[in-house]
Amino acid sequence: MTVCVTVLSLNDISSQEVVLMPQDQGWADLEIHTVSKSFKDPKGSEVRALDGVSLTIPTGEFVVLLGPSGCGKTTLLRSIAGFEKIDSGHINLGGNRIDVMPPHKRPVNTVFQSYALFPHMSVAQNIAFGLENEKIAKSEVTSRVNDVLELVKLTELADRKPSQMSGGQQQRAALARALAKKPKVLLLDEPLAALDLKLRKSMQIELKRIHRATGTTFIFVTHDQNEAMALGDRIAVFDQGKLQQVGTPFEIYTAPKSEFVANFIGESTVLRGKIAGQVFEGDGLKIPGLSDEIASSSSSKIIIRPEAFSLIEGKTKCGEVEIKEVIFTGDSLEALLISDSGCEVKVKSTPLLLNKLTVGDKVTLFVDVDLIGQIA
Amino acid sequence: MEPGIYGPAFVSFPAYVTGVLLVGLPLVVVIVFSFLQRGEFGSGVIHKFTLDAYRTVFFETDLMGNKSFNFSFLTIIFRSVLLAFTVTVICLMVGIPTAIWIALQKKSTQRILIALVTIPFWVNVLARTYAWMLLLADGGLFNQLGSPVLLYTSWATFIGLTYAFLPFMVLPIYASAEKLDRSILEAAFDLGASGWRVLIRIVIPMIRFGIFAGIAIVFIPALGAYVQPSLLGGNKSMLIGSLINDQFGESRNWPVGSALAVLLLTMTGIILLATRRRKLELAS
Repeated sequence: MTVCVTVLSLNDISSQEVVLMPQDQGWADLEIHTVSKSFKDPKGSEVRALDGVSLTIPTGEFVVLLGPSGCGKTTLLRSIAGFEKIDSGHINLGGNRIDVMPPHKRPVNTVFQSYALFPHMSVAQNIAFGLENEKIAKSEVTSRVNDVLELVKLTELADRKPSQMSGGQQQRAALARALAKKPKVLLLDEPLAALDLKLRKSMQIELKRIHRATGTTFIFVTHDQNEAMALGDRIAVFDQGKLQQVGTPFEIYTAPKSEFVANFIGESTVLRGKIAGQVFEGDGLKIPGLSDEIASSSSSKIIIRPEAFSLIEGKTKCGEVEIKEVIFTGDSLEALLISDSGCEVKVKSTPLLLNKLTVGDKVTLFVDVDLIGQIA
Repeated sequence: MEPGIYGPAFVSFPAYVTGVLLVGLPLVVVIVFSFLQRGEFGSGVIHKFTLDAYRTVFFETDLMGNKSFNFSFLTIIFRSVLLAFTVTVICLMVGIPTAIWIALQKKSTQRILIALVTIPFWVNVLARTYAWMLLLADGGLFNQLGSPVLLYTSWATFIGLTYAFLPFMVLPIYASAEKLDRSILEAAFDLGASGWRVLIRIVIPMIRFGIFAGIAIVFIPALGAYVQPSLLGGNKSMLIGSLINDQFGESRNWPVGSALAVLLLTMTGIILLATRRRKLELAS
């Protein structure tokens, strides 16, 4: 408490106000400090699932843990929930160390990938189960069950068994069951992975609505970068047990710090070469007019998103390329091009060009230099 | 299921033969015998219809020729049911935790443990019962360890039956516990339940069909058990299985033996139907 008062008074907020604030409203930040965890694989060798991961998640934030399978994101989630014991580091919630508590004592709840609904109980009983484990009056249990059922729009199906519901409805039930406990942090383990695309999209919107309505911290694990972009206030990208980059979807997309992040989130072309003055030259392309920032950096690896390239005159000309493949996706046209030196370039362009591009043709490539990024 | 989907109908012929020869026919013989007259020298039957056998079971005639209800049969039935019930309860109390514990081990460990559970089946039940006689006898291991001589008491019968039927309780419960989704248990803990509550509210309801199956295949054979009561219990207190055996042996009254068998069959049938009913109720 005292620590927080000092911090806030630095920001010119009177300490009087701070003292009046309820204990559980401002200080439930989740702090993950240098957490490591190793597993033995079936052959007996050590696999580092988490390697010194540090991350602070402020109250009420919607954070997405993103990465390929085996990157450690699920291990981190399970460590917060208490299903995995971490080897080193610590996890604090609102200043209290939680990594030493058993799962049923932690003020966090999980929505499981398989939903893990109790098959012998109705939806209402599933939700009530978690509340009956606390010392709550029966009438309060009933009203809280009804509240969350309304929140996830399942009031009509309260008496159904999980087997009598669709995947999307089971998903909502699992969400309601976890939210009924009023957790400080809600953990979601790829909850939408089993749903079809349409349902997944509508559940994403639902999740955003529910997040806003409850104000709870959401930590959402996924390997789907589109889902991560759509949902997260911030995205934490993992690879091989290490936290690669944390930032808003915009930051992660526009300024990836590594080639891994650049390729995992959205598509991109990475060009390697020399930067002399403000001109990049390499991989068969020559790009003049680079920003001072890129030109002055020691790295000569640049990344360009497909939409920064263009096949229509107007931007900076950067070379001649051959068309290798053209894919029409409805709202756009994706072309795979090959530079003289054999480097593959991905371009997103207007569908109007569909009939003008023939595989094997040579075309001129243009680029918007303002959208060029740089990686180490 | 539509006939013919899995091949021509004649492939199920062996199943029908087995069913008719080994189950149907002996059953019909027993039922028919229970309605026939006792053979002249005690063994066999005379092919004349009579209800004498059932009369003998339920009524007794005193020296004056007065008929009254025979309570000894009811007493034996009651004693048999009580014993079978107790054996079933103890098997449940030991079998449920054992089965769940096995199901929670690693897959490779599970296979070893299940093999261990089934090891007694490799040795004939008579040999195993004789082994228990040695253990429970005067000067046997139990006696040496300070227990009173249990052989030829109801305790010996009870111990022998519990020992013999415990694997039959563990196996079906394990089979359903093994299918339990681990994340469901995690979800229960995640929702703040203590270990005890997870067991009572989540695990046991989810493995209930295994438990029902275990109850049925322990209780029913325990009710008609013959080997353990006669070898370990010394037939001191009569049970239904021994009674039936006596009728075909020493008492030489096949129709009464058959009538008792039919009554036992009817009782177990009713119990089975009752559990089946309950199963269907729970399933819906």
